[in-house]
Amino acid sequence: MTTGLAKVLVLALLPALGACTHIGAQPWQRDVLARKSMQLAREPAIMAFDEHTYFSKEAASGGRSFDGGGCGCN
Amino acid sequence: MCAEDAVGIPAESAPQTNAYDQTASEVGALVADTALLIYQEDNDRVRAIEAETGLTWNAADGLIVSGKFTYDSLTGATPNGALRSRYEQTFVPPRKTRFILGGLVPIDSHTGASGRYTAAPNQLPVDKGFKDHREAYDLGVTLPVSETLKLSLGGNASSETDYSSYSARASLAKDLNGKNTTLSLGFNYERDSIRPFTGVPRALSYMGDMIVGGAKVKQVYSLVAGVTQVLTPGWLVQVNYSFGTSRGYMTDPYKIFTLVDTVTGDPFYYIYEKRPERRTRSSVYAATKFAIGSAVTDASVRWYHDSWGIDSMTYALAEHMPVGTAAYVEPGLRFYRQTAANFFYHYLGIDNPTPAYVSSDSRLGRFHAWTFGLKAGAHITRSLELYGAAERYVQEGQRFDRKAPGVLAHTDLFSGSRSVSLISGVRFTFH
Repeated sequence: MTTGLAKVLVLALLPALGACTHIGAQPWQRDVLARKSMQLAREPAIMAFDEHTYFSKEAASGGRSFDGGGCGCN
Repeated sequence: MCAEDAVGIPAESAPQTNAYDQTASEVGALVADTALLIYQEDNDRVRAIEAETGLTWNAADGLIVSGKFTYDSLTGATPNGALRSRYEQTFVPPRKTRFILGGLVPIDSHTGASGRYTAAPNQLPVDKGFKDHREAYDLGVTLPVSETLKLSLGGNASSETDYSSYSARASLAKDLNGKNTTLSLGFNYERDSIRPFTGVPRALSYMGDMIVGGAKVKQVYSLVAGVTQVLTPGWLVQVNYSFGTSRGYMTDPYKIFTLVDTVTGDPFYYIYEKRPERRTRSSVYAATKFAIGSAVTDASVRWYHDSWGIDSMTYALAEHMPVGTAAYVEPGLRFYRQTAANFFYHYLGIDNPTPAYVSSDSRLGRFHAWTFGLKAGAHITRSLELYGAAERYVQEGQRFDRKAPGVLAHTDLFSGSRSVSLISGVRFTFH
């Protein structure tokens, strides 16, 4: 668990990389970020079905957004 | 290391050769999205068919209004929490009571839903009488408060025969640094009512004892705070911290627990399980998207901990790969593992004092799970898109405990699930 937490913290601190260069994208460089394939929640229906399955079958939930799910879930 | 020069191919060198390189912006468009899931567990356990249909209106001024309807039907068999045994086992539901002449008189409920049933020798005891359907409605609106601030509000209602749930949510998203940084903060409140088909059994009491009520309530408060950071023109990172607290009835009213003979290891007695009425959960979720040409790598990790003693890690990796000019495929892999709740036991000896809380639900036990998936999508026209996914989900855990008494040392204790999910969807955009 500790190593897992360490990995998460490393990812969390990635934005600090900006200390070594200018990070981000200028307005004229945003075409890649604007692509369908670059959206964080790309296929909402598939994501919702997957989250429902994992919520029903696993003890952990949430993270990406709110947990819960409103089902008895056998 | 400063990776900016190595990634994030500038616009000039990434010609738009695939439909999924087009902008995701749907400003001024109405999007209709309908999808179907067929979910089947191995060994004729749970089967779910879930349909979802939604409409999203993206107004020109940034206002977004969405509505979604979900219907699912569930059939099949679900483990009841009891151990496999070398003998046939018979299970009976709790007894309902009737108020007659000032006294509570039991009535026979053994013929109703989840009534009396048996499990064959050496077979995992499952309740085959389980059958339900669910309808859920979700409404959401995103309001542009200013150029860089958005407020989202939403609500959800979900209803099953034995379960209903209502929730309301609100969140704020603030863009900073020329939209390279987005901070978000959201809150969700959920209230659930549980009305078991059998009535609410008396926790920790013997199987077949009289019920103690008809309905119970659970409330969940959740908070999510996050930051999304663009690192280069082709690389972004998201980190979320979530905290949730639940209060109320979290026991599974259909699950029982086996007390065994500590010499022979045979089932001796069954009691209804009991879980704490409070649970706090926290998680840190980090995800990244990284583009090289038209391909996009999507990786995420989640660390989770709750007050029931469950720790879990989840890792997911997917690679979006363009196919031709109009399609993509996306193979994906997910690994999940969790430790057991501190009140999880496969069984207890009849001689041992029963703890305050006890459950043998495999979802609260120690296991790990793999998901192998393949997603795909194609633009048939500019407005019409088809998509789908096929997934195999496999839970694995310790099957045998060689130190267990008697026959239990050779009894398969694991009851985790394995399933296949098939998803297909169609999306139409009215420009």
